[in-house]
Amino acid sequence: MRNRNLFLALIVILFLIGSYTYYHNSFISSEEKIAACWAEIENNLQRRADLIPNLVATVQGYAGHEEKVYTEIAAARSRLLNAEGVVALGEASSALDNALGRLLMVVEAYPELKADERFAELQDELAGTENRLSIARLRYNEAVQAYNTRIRRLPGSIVAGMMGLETKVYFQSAAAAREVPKVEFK
Amino acid sequence: MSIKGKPHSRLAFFLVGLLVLAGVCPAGAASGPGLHFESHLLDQAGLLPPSAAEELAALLAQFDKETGNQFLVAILPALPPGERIENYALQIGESAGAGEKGKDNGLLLLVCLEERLIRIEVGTGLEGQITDGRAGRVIRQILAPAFQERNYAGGLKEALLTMMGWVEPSFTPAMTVTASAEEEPDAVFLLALFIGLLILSSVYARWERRRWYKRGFSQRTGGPLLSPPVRRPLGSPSRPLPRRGGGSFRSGGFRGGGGGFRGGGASGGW
Repeated sequence: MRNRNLFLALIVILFLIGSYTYYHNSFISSEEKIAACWAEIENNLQRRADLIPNLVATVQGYAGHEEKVYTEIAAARSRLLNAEGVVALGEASSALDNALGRLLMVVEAYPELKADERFAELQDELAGTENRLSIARLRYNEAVQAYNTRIRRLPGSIVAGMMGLETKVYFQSAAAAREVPKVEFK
Repeated sequence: MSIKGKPHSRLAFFLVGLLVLAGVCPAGAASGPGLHFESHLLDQAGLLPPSAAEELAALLAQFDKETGNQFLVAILPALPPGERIENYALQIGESAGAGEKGKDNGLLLLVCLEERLIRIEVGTGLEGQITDGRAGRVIRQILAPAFQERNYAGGLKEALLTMMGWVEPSFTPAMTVTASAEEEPDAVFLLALFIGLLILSSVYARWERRRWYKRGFSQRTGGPLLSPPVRRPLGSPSRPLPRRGGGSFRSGGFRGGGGGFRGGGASGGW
């Protein structure tokens, strides 16, 4: 009978170790996935920041006297490049979105600029980066959601508590700010 | 040892089961738009004449076979309401699995007729060769002008060949056999198949009836599936469909390799 209890105890201990290892490792993988998704967001933010000087230079060639917009963009860009952390980056990114939206509004007034193939390609690059960014944001937030759910649900939450894990923050940029303002010509 | 294996193995089963149950977590299954690519070209809008569709599909199939890059073309009557073409193209590309897994060398050219929108969705692995700017140029300079003149097939072909050239400069499209030359043997073959099946079924029916009378109702245990093989009458097909030869590529047979997309490419209209 003692033997039997010992055996049972052994199995329970093995089970506990096994579950701990399982949850521990799965949380690590989830965290790594989030890190990978975050890297993708940062890549695209960087890419966009790199594209902006080219875009501005091209626009300036046609529309030299729109200084206000250019300084605004430069400020938003440097703010983005200096931002640290998920929340700050999200806010800086929205600010740059707004500034870019105003730049594209300026562009509407210059038909020759719109007809410039180099400008059109830069705009495609920018749009592509924005699109990649929105998908990267979506994937990052999905990964965060999966992670947050996992570490808060029983029985994994016990392991998460032992590991000292905390829920992660979603990457947000105000949806309204992302909409490029429409200009109507009559 | 007084321990018998049985209760413990049951306990072990229980524990393992618990572990498995606990481990099951809902995988975020992205429900795709449910488009099924039987070949590399899916023309749901019926925009292209069959011969042109066949030619384009053959071109795409050849490119896939020779270079491993999976280019797809989808022509839809309209976008689902409220859907952005960028998101929809990404979903289609991902669910079709265009491109090789890991290489992510797929591409989707999506045309939505009602909205007059075009999207070139570039697989992650091809973003270096087909940059967003280049994709945009293809739409603005090749597709849009051709589509405005209703030259859909010509525009698509030129656009695809241009992009194929960027990805694989050494690629040369095979001379495709003209559609009329291809269609004739097909019709004859189908007719032969039809007649053959007709003869086969009549022979089979007669043979079955005779057997039915011979054995009577009570003895009839085996279904027609278990019956001995029927001797095929002359002219009935005994081999699977032959492939059309002559160096042309059959349009059929797209199989997605599970390539990934992350939103590269460009959109435009005409």
